[in-house]
Parts: sequence; structure tokens; C-alpha cells
Amino acid sequence: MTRWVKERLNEWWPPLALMAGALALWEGLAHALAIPRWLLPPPSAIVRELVARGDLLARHSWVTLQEVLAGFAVAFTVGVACGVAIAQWRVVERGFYPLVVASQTIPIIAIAPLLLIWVGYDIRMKVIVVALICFFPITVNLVDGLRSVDPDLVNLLRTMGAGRWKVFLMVSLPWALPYLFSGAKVAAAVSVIGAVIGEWVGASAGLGWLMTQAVPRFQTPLVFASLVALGVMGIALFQATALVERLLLPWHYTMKRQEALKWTSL
Amino acid sequence: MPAVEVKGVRKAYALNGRVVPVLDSVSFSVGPGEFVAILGPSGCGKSTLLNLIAGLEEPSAGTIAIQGAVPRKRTGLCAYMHQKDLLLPWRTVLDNAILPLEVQGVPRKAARERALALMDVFGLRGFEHAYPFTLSGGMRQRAAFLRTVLAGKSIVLLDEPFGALDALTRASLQDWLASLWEALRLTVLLVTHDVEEALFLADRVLVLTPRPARVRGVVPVSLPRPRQREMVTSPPFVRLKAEVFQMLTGTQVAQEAPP
Ligand SMILES: Nc1ncnc2c1ncn2[C@@H]1O[C@H](COP(=O)(O)OP(=O)(O)O)[C@@H](O)[C@H]1O
Ligand SMILES: [Mg+2]
Repeated sequence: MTRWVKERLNEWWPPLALMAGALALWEGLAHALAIPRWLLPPPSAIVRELVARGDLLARHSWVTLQEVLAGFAVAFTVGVACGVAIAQWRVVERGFYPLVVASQTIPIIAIAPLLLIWVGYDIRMKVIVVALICFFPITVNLVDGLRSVDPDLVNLLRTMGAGRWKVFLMVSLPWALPYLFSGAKVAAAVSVIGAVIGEWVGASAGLGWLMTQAVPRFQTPLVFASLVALGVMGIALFQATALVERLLLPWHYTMKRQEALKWTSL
Repeated sequence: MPAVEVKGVRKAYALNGRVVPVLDSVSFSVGPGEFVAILGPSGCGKSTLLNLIAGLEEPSAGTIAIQGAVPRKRTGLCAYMHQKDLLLPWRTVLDNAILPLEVQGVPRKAARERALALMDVFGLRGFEHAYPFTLSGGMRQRAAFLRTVLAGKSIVLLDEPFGALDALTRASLQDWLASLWEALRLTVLLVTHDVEEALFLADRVLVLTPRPARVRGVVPVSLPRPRQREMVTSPPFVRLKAEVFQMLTGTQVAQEAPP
């Protein structure tokens, strides 16, 4: 346990120190230059806002979190199904995959108003926006992983008499899982963006909506407090995905660590 | 009935519109319980030949009969081992070994018991639950051998199984394979480009020409069994080696006068 703490500290102190320094500078400058609150509140004011408006922020965070989790779940399910289909059937790969890639060139912010017309103001619209943003990294990484399987390994399984789907389940899928998780981590990190865009376009609750309410009233500390809540949510989602990865793929984790150690111990 | 019978097998690949012949009418047969080494220069088509026998690819012409039959689905009849150990990094040694049994639908528990009973023979006792990346090259290759044997096939195809190992490990694994084969008496087809390895292990050595490969000749190895490492310097071994070299390269190799 103590070793674990030590290692985490080792890993975390540079970003933490950097952040602490930046915050201190910000705080000092805000006071020294007497910057008005509505223009740029000092960190201490944001913290006070976080405490004072805790209930409000928690309520709207919960709305946003639901959208994010639902959207991520949809994207994961659809993304895995599409990735598997693309990797298993050439027809799907040739017909569908280019469309998946092309669809990414359409900005989400341009689609969101259309979704508003089609599905309305309720949570479904936000879930779809989140899913659209998360879908791409999940699918593309899974397809890359499934394509990078060692063909000799596939042949080995075939000599054992394994059919197409046995090869897939016993070799290709486990092989591609680290790739899938890379995609899922990226998706977790950007999922929050999707929810905020959705809420900006049309919502009556959520952190994104809260920001749209606070800005015209020059409640800048509340805008920053919402940003902090969004940041914490994004990091937490990313870390949760990384944790699931570590639990599901212990071999991958130890292999990576062992390789890292080989390099440092020389 | 021969265990493996290869008749007039040709194989060509199309490469950028050009037809590249790799095997040019190869014929031979392997008796049950026989150890045959297939020897040829690198790139002559040895792996291609083994892949055809394993059923991974279809010959352009000719037939390959396994145990007298030419079935429609040709995979799953022979155990096959690649030069790379091809251990799955997410499975322990034990679970890698039982892979063919799992493919065949044997319950995990029963499969593990069968693998555990063989850990001593394969020098893997104590490493059952280790992941492949923690093992040495020699141990990984032994784990791959265990997986090959557990497939439970009477015909075993080995494609340069020692090719990636250092000389010392290779020699000790050859000794080990010789005694293992003398105990199990499976039908083995070993692909190699190492003359000494072929002679040390096999009952017969099949020498191939450079690409496109044909069978240039067959050398029976009448050395006594069990084979011992000292034999590689004995006059009969050296004579065989010269004969095979000559067949491989078409040149005469200086030969010691027999005492
Ligand atoms: N799938 C393939 N497509 C095209 N050429 C191939 C293919 N597989 C093997 N070859 C060619 O066939 C020749 C023999 O290859 P291989 O059987 O691997 O030789 P060996 O195992 O004797 O070293 C090589 O020149 C290789 O380039
Ligand atoms: Mg080869």
C-alpha cells in the first residue's frame, strides 16, 4: 500500500506542482492587478463559488453525468458491433467504413440543432450527441486492433480446427481489447464535450445549460465552477475506464510495466 | 497406409501479375511413426509445403492425403508448430497449452489436468501460471511444444521450431525432442535449413532444391537410437552430413577418411 502511494505520488507530483504554481500565480495577479470578478475571478473565488453553490452544481452535474454515461454506453455498444462487423465482413468494410470516417468531418455542433428538431429537448438529444462523439474513437481503435492480429496466430488456430468465429473469440477479440480500451479512454475524455454541446443547443438543465445561463448575467465565478465540475467529471470518467482496463487486462498492464522497468533499470 | 502422402503437388503465387512458382511437383510419403526432416535452402518453399499439408492453403495442383484420405476440410488433422512460439500473451503457460483442447471443446478443467500431468516432461513445472513474456525463449518454445502435443494428433508438423533460438538452447532442445519423440513415436515432419539438426533427429531427410522446390533426394539416416549428442562427430554422421551437403549444394565437400 505504501509503495502504491509512493508510486502514485511519483507520478502525480509534476502535474500537481505545475497546477499549484499556475493557480498561485493566477491568484496573485488577480489581486495585484485588481481584475474585476466578472472578468476573471481568482481561484479562491471559484472555490468559494463551488462551496456556496454546491447543491446547484451537484444537481446539474448529475443531469450531465446521466447524459454522458448513457451516450457512452450507446456508443460503446454500437461501436463494438460496428467494429466487429467491419473487421469480419469485407463487404461491410468496403461499404460502411469509409462512411464512418467521412461522417467525422461533419461538425457535431452543426448536427445538434437538427437533432433538436428531430428528437426534441429531452435527454435523448444529448445522449445522441455524446454517442456521436464517442462512437468514432471506439470503432476506429477496435477496427485497427482487429486488423493488427498476427496472421500466423490466426493460422495456428485454424490448424487446430477452429472456425471463423472461434478464431475471432479466442484470438482476434482478446488481441484487440487493449486497442478497444485506448479508444474507450479517448471517448471517455471527449464525452463531456458532447454533453455540453448538446446542452448549449437545447436543454433546461445540466452544466452546459448552467453556463449558458450564467454568462449573460456575468456570473463568471459560476461559469468557472461549472468548468471545474466538467473537468473533474471528464478525468473521473477517463480514470474509471483505465481502471476497468487494468482489471480486465491484467496481463497487458503487467507486460507494459515490465517493459517500462526493463528500460529504467539499465 | 502412409500417414502423409504428397503427390505431384505444385504451388504458385501471383505476385504483381507475375506467376511465381514455389513448389514444382513435389511427391513423397511419410510412414506412421516416422520422423522425416525436410531440408532446403531458405526461401525454397519449405513453409509453403508445410502449410499445404496443414490445410492452411490449397495446392495449385496435386493431392495431399492424410491417413489415406483427402477430406474437404483439411485443417485440424495435424498438429502444427511455427518458428515463432505464437503463445497468446493474455494466457498463462497452462492456458496456452490447453488451447487446442479448448478449440476441440474439451472442458477447461479436464484440459488443465491433462496439461498439468505433462509439465515435468516439458520442463515447465513451476511456470504453469506464468505469463509467456516472463519466460526465456527456450521455455516459450517448450510451452509451444506442449501445446502442439496436447492437440492429440498423431501427425506433427514442425516449421523450424528451433530457428529463433541461440545455439546452446537449440542443441539442448534438440536432445530433448529426440528423447521425447523416442517415447511418443508420433509421425513428425520437421522443416529445417540446418543439416545437422535434420540428421540428428530424423529417420529420413528429404532434400529440396532451391525455389521452385522439387525433391532432390532422400537420405535415410541409419544412426542408432536413442540419439546422443556425441554422435554428431562420429564418422557415420559426418559421412551423412557430407552426402546431404553435396545434395543440397551440388558440390563435393571434403570428407575425412574413415579410420
Ligand atoms: N502468400 C504468398 N504470396 C506470395 N509469395 C509467397 C507467399 N508465401 C510464400 N511466398 C514466396 O514463396 C517462397 C517460399 O517461401 P517459404 O515457403 O516461406 O520458404 P521457406 O520456408 O523455405 O524459407 C518465398 O520466395 C516467398 O516469397
Ligand atoms: Mg520458412
